[in-house]
Amino acid sequence: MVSVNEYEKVRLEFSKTGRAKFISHLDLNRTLRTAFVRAKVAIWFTNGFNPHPKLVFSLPLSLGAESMCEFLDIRVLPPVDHEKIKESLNKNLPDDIQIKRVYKPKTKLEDLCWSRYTFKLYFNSMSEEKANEIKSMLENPMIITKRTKKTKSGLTDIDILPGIRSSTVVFDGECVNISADLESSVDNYINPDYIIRALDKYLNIDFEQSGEYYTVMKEVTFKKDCKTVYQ
Amino acid sequence: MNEKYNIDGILRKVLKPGRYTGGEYGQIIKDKEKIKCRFAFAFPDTYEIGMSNLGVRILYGALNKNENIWCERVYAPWIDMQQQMKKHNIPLYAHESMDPVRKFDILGFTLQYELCYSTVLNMLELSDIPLYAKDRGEEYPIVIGGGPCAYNAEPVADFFDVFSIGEGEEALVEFCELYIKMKESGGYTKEKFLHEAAKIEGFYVPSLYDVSYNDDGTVKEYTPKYDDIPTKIRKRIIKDFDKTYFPEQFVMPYIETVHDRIVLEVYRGCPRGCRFCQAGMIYRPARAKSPEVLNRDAKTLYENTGYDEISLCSLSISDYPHIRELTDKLLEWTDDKMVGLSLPSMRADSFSRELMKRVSSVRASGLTFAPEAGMQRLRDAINKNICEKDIFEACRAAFEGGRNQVKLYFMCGLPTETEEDILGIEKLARAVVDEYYQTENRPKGRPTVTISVACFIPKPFTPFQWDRQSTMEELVEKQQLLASAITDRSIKYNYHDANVSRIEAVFARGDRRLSKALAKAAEYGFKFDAWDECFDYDKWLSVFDECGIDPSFYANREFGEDEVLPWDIIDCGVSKEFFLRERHKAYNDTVTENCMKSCAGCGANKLGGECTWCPSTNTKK
Ligand code: SF4
Repeated sequence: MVSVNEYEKVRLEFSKTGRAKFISHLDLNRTLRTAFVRAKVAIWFTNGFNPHPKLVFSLPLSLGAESMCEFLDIRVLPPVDHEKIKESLNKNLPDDIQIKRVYKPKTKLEDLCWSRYTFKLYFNSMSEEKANEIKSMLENPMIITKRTKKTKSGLTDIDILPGIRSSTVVFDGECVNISADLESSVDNYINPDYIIRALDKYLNIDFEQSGEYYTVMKEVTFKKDCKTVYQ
Repeated sequence: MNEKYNIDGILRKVLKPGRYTGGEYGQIIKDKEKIKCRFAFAFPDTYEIGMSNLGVRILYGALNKNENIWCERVYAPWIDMQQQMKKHNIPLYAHESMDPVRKFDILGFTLQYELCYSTVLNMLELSDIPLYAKDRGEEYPIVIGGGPCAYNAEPVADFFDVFSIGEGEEALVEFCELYIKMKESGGYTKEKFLHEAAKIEGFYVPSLYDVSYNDDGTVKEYTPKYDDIPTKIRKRIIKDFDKTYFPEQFVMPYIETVHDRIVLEVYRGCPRGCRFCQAGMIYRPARAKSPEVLNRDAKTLYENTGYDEISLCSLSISDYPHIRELTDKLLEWTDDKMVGLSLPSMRADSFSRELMKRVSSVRASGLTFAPEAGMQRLRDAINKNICEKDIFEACRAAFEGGRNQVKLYFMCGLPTETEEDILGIEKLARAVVDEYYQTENRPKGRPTVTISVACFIPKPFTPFQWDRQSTMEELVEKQQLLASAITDRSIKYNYHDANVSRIEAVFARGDRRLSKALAKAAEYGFKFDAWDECFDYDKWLSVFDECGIDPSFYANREFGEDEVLPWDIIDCGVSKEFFLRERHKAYNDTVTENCMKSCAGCGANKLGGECTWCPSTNTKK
């Protein structure tokens, strides 16, 4: 058995878009595991009773959101050819999950603190005015009930406003576009779903009517200062 | 994906959206412009079940190998999704292109169990396709059915244009080629095409055969409408199993499915000949693949799928003559790559301690045996040729191998069964518990012996096809008798819902007049009858009642040996005389040797091909 130290740490930046947005984190894990085998990338297996390939992800993307910047750390048996890994993995992955970059990581996964999301909202009563209402909603406290392990009821109310930065809201005639940086650190993870829930709670935008829907895309991630791009 | 329908919106509102997205690795996308025949392959159950079916995987690959055909997958959306689709006017679509099923040239349903019939109609409705074949004009796809239930498809005959009888991997391609040829030559009409198709071996066009009935309700005769179509439709088989198409790639589901692994079909059919078993008869003659071919397929599939488990699949795997060679070859590389082997069905008699040890060297799989009956006399009558000694030895081997859980499968309501047989199930289970305590190097703790008891269902093309199913009262009484006999806490008792088995029996031995009941059931929104949460026995009874159908006529009546059976229109290769002989032997508690020991002259060898055990047709026994 080759010791874990002989493997080289490699980071993959990948996108998860289109149909793959409805694939849960667990299923993504399984999909990638088989893809590594198909691509013949020899990655490190955990020891023990039930050895399995070790994949370490950045915080999971919420179900239904697309992303251009997900991160995954693995350990690969040298010699490591980054370009080749990328190429062979992409051939062996579904079209909607594609590796953008393979490199030696210089940061910790925990250093990822902020994510910029674009929301596209299609609903029946869209207008300039509605966009302004959304804008002011995003600038005031928004109380969201979320699940937690800390309280007895398993639920807790939080204000998500401190976890939102530099939001813009634009109505382009077709849909309302929101761009917002949401905190995504381990301690304070603002799920993009919270924004959708706030829209329902504060403005009664619930996407229940025929033809109403929204999309969410994670565009880029930042370090703690919310400026330096995380990679 | 929302360019066609607003699927995005509704997928946020349903459970397990991954069932409906498509886009999996390994799916086949083709250029629509270059395709001459678009085939929607529908599995009338959930995605998780449909994706696990090996037959579908094979046919998907076989059809798509042809550059003129594009085969796509369709599954039954779960109830929550159906509600959303109705609300938003989204018709049933195929997974690859997301195009509506209605727009396809051919819509194929695989009929794996009778309880899927209501779901088939449900899927036609979701597709906006009229249920009855006669109501569908040229603008609708040709609807074709196949799979084990096609051997007696009479209950659904009115809803289908055509059935493919027997093994489809070659036949379906031929069928599509005929379609393309006729379309290209310009003379195509649905009617002409179906008439031509009815001339290809293995294709049954029900509308071309009139059925008349006797006064007592039994079938009088089948009359072909043309002279140039066969009076009996003979099933198709793959002649050389080693050379037949086997997929090199599976579609890799994103979400977990029932059998999410590599499945190798070691052989097709079964050399045994249990008298209740339809699969053992309709897939005759048994044909095995060589270990070389299997090992090659396994390697290719491992490389192309990345799965870490290989399951060897067939009706009775340990009868495979080269099992040792095969496992040797596989273990040469699977251990190294941390790929597990699993064997699903084991027979107690040929179960060797060694084989089990070798397989569990990678991963343990559940241990199950199927004695089917509690007493040797009844096991002889059903031709389940295993004896108690075999069962005990196998269990002992399992216990010595460190296991303390065994599962035993039985049936109740079998022809010739007595109270003693039912009580024998408990005795046998208790003896297995004793065996555990007598095993010296057994694991610690108490054993669990699970007995799972199904209700016997008489199936077409078996020696018991004439026999009646026990009535509900009888079945419940038997289940209770057994329950009250079990006192040992190491024995766990599961039994099947007799209501479900009865409905299954009605459709298994049904005729065309049942289509009325199915259409009514569709009207009332029946679907997913194989699911406990959807099945409603009382509703079925009232549907039958409303249609003037007596379910007992089909389920609980002994069919006359000289009666024309609804499925006599099909020739499955095995002769009716053989079934009769076997039936009479059953009533004399006489066993028949399996095909490996000697040929019982069932007639299947006339189908030809490279059969593993059959004498060639020239050397008549
Ligand atoms: S012809 Fe003989 S050997 Fe072949 S399947 Fe029938 S009984 Fe078995």
